[in-house]
Amino acid sequence: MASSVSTPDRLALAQVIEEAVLAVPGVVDLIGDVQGGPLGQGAGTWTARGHVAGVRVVAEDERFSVDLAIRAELVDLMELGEQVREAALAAARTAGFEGAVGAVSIRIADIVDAAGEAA
Amino acid sequence: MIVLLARGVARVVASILLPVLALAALVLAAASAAGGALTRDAASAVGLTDAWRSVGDALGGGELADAQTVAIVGAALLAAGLIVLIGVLVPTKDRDLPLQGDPDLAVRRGALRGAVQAQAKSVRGVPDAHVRVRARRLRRGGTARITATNGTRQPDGPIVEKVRSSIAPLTEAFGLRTRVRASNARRKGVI
Repeated sequence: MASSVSTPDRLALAQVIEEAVLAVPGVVDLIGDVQGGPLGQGAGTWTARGHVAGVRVVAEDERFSVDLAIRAELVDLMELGEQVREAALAAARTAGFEGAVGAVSIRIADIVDAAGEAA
Repeated sequence: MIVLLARGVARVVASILLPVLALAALVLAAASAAGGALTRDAASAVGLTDAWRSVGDALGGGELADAQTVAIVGAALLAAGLIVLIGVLVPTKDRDLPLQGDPDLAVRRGALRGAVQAQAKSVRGVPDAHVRVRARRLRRGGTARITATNGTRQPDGPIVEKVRSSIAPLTEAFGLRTRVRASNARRKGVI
């Protein structure tokens, strides 16, 4: 688990991925997703320099793994997942993180209808 | 609005009051197990000597019970307090259902339930649908049980088939076996 990637890298990567994912049609929001009481885990990248809710970037063996928790519209979820993953990887490449991102896990934590109500 | 507020209050109470109650139970249990001297000292430390005189004998195993009974009750209370603390503090997690063929894409069970329900209600002649989704514990996939309200004069069969084909892309993608049935709105007096 030794890592040579730094906290500013993690935060910067989380920020560019957040921006890219929110631009994908069908993605309503990214969710901090704290659940399960006082000790529940939150999905996000939290550093002393700032935080990004819903985008968890973990440094593992000189690469980053990315976990996304999203609120989505009621669309084709498989296609949405692919678009989100492609957007995240493309944003990472553009921001100079090419080859640094490993697995991108996507969790659809909530689905809402067109009016924004829970489906 | 009131319901939302009440739910918020209930969550706060559940997450704050229950741990406080559990801790109080632990303290009481420890005091019961330790005996009268400890409770007397603790009461005098916080200026509650008079109150201790009223209840201290009972806590310390005076006339109400012998030392062995008090120790058993105290241990039971300790165990109960620990169980309550664990139940309150350990996060409950809504189980996720991974996409078949792509374990890195998962949907929360509750969200999938809502999506299946919305899909079922999109069928013409189905004004309402009740959905239960269960995820398997050890293997992938699960079961979705859908009760669609038949708001038409048609028999239930065609409605069931329409609902089944409408939700199939979604449920099959996440490995859900479906059981669809219809309840007749006219028979139930809904319409």
